[in-house]
Amino acid sequence: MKCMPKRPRLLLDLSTSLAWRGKHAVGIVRTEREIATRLLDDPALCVIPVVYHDHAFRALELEFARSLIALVPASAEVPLPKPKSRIRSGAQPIHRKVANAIMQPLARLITAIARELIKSVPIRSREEVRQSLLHARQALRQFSSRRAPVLHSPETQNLGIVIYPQATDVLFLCGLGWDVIDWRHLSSLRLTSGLRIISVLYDLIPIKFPEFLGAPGDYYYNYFIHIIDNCEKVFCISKRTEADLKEFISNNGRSPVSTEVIYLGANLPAKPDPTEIIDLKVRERLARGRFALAVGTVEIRKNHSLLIDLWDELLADPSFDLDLVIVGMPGWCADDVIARLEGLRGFGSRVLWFKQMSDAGLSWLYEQCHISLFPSLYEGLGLPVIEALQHGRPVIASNRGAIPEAGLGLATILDPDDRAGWRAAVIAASRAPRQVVNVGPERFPNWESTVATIKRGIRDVMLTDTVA
Amino acid sequence: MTKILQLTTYPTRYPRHGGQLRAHHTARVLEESGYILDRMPVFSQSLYPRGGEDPAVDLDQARTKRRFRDTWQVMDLTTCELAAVDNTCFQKFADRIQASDADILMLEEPWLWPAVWRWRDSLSAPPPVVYNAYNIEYRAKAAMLVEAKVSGADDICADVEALERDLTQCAAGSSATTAEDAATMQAWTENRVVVARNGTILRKVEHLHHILPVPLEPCQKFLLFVGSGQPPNFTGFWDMVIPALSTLRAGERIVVAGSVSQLIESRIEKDGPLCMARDRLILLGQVNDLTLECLLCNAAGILLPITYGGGSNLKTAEALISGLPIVGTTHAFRGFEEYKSLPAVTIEDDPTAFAVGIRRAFNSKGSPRAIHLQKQLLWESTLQPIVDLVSTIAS
Repeated sequence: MKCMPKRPRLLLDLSTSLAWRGKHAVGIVRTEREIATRLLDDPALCVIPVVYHDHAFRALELEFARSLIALVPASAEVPLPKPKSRIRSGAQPIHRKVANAIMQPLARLITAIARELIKSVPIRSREEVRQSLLHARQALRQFSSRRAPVLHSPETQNLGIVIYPQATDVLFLCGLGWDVIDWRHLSSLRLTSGLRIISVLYDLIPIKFPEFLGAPGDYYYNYFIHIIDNCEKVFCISKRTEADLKEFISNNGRSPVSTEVIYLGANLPAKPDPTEIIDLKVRERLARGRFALAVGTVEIRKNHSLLIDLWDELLADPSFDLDLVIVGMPGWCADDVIARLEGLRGFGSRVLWFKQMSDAGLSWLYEQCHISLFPSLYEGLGLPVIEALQHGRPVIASNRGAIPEAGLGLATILDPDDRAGWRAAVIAASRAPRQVVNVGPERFPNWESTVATIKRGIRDVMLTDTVA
Repeated sequence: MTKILQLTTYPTRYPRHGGQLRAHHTARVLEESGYILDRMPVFSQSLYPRGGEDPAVDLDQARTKRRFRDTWQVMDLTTCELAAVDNTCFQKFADRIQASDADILMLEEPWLWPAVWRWRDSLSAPPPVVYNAYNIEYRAKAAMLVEAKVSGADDICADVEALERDLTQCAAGSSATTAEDAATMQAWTENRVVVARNGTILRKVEHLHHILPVPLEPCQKFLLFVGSGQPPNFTGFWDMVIPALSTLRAGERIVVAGSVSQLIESRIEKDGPLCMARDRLILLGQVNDLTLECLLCNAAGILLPITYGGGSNLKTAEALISGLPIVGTTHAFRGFEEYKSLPAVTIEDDPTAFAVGIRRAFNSKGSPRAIHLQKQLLWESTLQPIVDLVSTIAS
């Protein structure tokens, strides 16, 4: 009596979480974990956690899947390494300095070599080489974190179970799909098996503003074409992103794809906790609440340049007492911005940069800040705007992309090119008494409602006729 | 509430092999029947590096002092008796039992009896002992030692038999996994001996269709054999299944899961049908639960080829509840005799006939087991006699 699936299966892709396992998760990685956590144990869905590995989707044991999407470090209860929030200018232990001095340039060199290697390969084989390098990177990470791939270890087995999809299966992707999945292969798999694909789309910035990214050639263009050609349904994280997608579909002569807007949850899953800001003097200074907070990866698009310019001017005025706190990892093509930031007067004292921060630490910074600033040049949503508002903090944000949507009608919206306007708004905010944005929680999107919408969408797709 | 101290010679919280499974479910079923269970695993930690729990008494240090160090077949006997003869180990052992303050001691297998005996000997009113036998051990050991041509086998087996007899005699009640074993034990004691055969759990696997461990592919049809590295598993497979490999058609495979794979692989490399095995046999080694469930969902049938060994075969219950076609031996159905006549169950003890059975299984479809049959095979049912026995002793 061979088994046949009685109901459609949801193949929940966790490839991004696997690639980022054990690491501080931000942005899309965090989103995948939040959504997956809420889908994985839903008895109403027949969920099979999967990862894309070595040209196949692999089924994962439930416990292993849970370990991949554990939201770390949510609190100090979990025995994990101390979060590594570092103030860029602060003193680092010698061994870390040495390790950073060696490893960071080495990692950059290897990345550069890998990119050149990919360029030198004939186009038709590039994706295979890229995927191979990704697998090699994964293997190296496992090795370096002392998770040696022992024969018959649970980990080896977890990546050793291949799924041969059925026409009734639905694959749900909400991670870094362009980075961890070979879409040419997935496309073939869909055509041969009838597998239906649902994806979350965060933005089309690489198409609209290719200058913001250092991505090679048509890399993202190809990915977005795959999305519209292969997905049964696309969840867009804002109305702006949905409109951008429809424009992209139209520009490329494709048939419409079913879309639906979901707003990402803004509820940070941790209580505010300042303890990872190890320098007590810094912590005490921040606890006074006299700082502006800017959350987001340090990269051109986030427009930290505007803040650097402003603080360069404003710090010259001795009566201006608002510090600037930036939280975000260094992003791509950001060397110039980082150099300017680190060269800024007051860097390390009046201007602080936390490259990593746990949810608890970030929540504390949101609570303490005088104002939150978000001058980005384009966003698929602009989650930090919503997070700041949810913490009751006033926000000055850009009018580009979906940021006004994220402002929920509560943020002050300004054109990022209006430097004088930003300067005036920051000075006014610094002189005003501490304000509280007092609105009920029902105004803010949360993960439960986001995932409820996703589940409805998944069920709709499951109920549609399958194509054999 | 009655408190039971369960003594095992392995960790049981995350069970893998048969003994662990039985002990795990015995504790679970007793707990669900209202008893307080205190688990006391006594073992060498190095033997269970991923056991998921620490031993109450770690026998690692003392293990080097054991008798018959070259005879791994009796390592359970010779290691566990150190808990009685090594004073450091015994002190830890005694302290732990004392601290438990249990109403009943439950021994899973006989190996820790010397230590329990020494501890009880110092008490005026020791708690009663329930002995759960998985085998008639001296017979099982004899078969293994004879097969391995170990010198002095008779003496070792005499020691094992004396241990089993003494424990059965002293126990307030005992359980065996087959009626035959129970009859043997009943001859040693006037106290009650019940039959509690091995059981299984009901796995939900239907959603795993076409999810397969590498290198299996959906176009392949396969029969599954699951076995630990115990000699009867290897011998049964080698004698009954290997000769049948040539009868497999294109796309048909025999898949082996469990540590018996390593034994089979070694033997094939040494003097087996290399090419036949390469193209028709898939050895997966130890597998995790998900892999096993994928195999059970996608298999065309299950093989139970053991030809000797004591106790009832735990894999038989698992195979029966799956509803898949089964090809087995009479010996594999010890304790499950009433299921031999079920549809899609083939019993053959001759290798040639077994090969015919394998062909029949490939061509058969199997059928879901009736609900009442499924219930009979669950641990909750099969272990009920132990619950009743404990209830009698506790009262």
